[in-house]
Amino acid sequence: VEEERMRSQEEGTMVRYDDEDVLPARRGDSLADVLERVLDKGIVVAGDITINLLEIELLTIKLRLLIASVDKAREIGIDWWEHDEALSGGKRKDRRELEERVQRLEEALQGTQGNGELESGKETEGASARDRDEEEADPRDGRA
Amino acid sequence: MGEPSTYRNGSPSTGWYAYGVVQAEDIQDLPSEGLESGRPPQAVVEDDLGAIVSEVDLAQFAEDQLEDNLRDATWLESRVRAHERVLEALINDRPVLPMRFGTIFRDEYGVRALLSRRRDDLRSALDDLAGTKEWGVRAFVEQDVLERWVRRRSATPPPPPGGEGAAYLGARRDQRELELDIERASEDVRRRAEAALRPVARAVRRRGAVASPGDARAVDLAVLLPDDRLSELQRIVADLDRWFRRRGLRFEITGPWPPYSFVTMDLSEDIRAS
Repeated sequence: VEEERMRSQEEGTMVRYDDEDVLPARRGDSLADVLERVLDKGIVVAGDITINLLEIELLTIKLRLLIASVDKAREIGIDWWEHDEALSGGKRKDRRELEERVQRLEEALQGTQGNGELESGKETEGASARDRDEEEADPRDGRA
Repeated sequence: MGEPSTYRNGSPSTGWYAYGVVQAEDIQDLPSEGLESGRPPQAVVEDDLGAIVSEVDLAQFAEDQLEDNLRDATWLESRVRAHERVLEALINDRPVLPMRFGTIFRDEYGVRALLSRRRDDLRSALDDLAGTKEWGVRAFVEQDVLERWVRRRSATPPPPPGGEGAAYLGARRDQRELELDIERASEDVRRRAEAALRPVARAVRRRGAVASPGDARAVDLAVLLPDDRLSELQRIVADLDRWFRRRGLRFEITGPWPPYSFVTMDLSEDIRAS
């Protein structure tokens, strides 16, 4: 009954498809589509990078943890890891390096020139484009 | 790239990357390209099961190197797509249990030990999948159209007269109510989509993926569908799309996918426990 009602109400604005009533399937070709399934589902054999138990030795990737190099993941449209608590500390090494780098830059700037020069000073100190991307891409860095 | 021996002394420099598990009778006609060129997929058979594997260079997956590789979108994309391509070739004509990306065994004996230890579960999972494929059914939100629909639907009465402060608070309350109404409407759509699909599907699951903003998915379902019901699925989704399009939701079908969403076995506990 409901379906009949749907039909009669919508008839006037019906969207036409090549083959009347059939919606064609699209291959999920985008990298985000593929990654989402390949990384998140399927048989899991081990969650650790290396486990060595009994006679079985497995190397398996804790990808959810490692892909926490946030900038790349977000760049390709993946952000489900942001909701995974296990990842909250996932970028520690990068963050520490970044913080140290920022601190060095700031100290250098303090020593040589006034605050107004901060932006251009940062450029000339050689912070690469990738470093800046990381700063912008991960708001958690700013909070840390 | 370092010598494999710097990663682990005296160990072989290659391992077996596993794509999935099939019945031993289904190991013919394997795709010719795997993760690495010149190392085509092959089967490791144990009893009546076969794992589809190919040799990979372990140094690339070593802990120190891997982290850099995963951050390299080009590296990651080519491997992930290769993994997916192998499985997509396999699902055309046989049931397959897909492994999650990045499962590597040290040697053939590890693969066989796993197959033999969980033989019964793997077999019955394969039997359940016979003659089916996974399809994705999802709907993307056109926010402004959806908002208009929800406003009409909930027919909010005009706010009572009041001062500037009251108007402000009223507006905030309206916004909050609108959000709740949208969430309710979306849940309603999800339920209706699931109910519409269930009669033709072997199973329907909600996928947990959260899309990025501007790409919001109100509906993201995985459907395990018998192969002979595809045109019914397409008709149902076309109906859903026709009905909901004016309400701000555009449906689409993706697939066929390897049945990632319906194979949720975790074999690591099993290994730890034994």
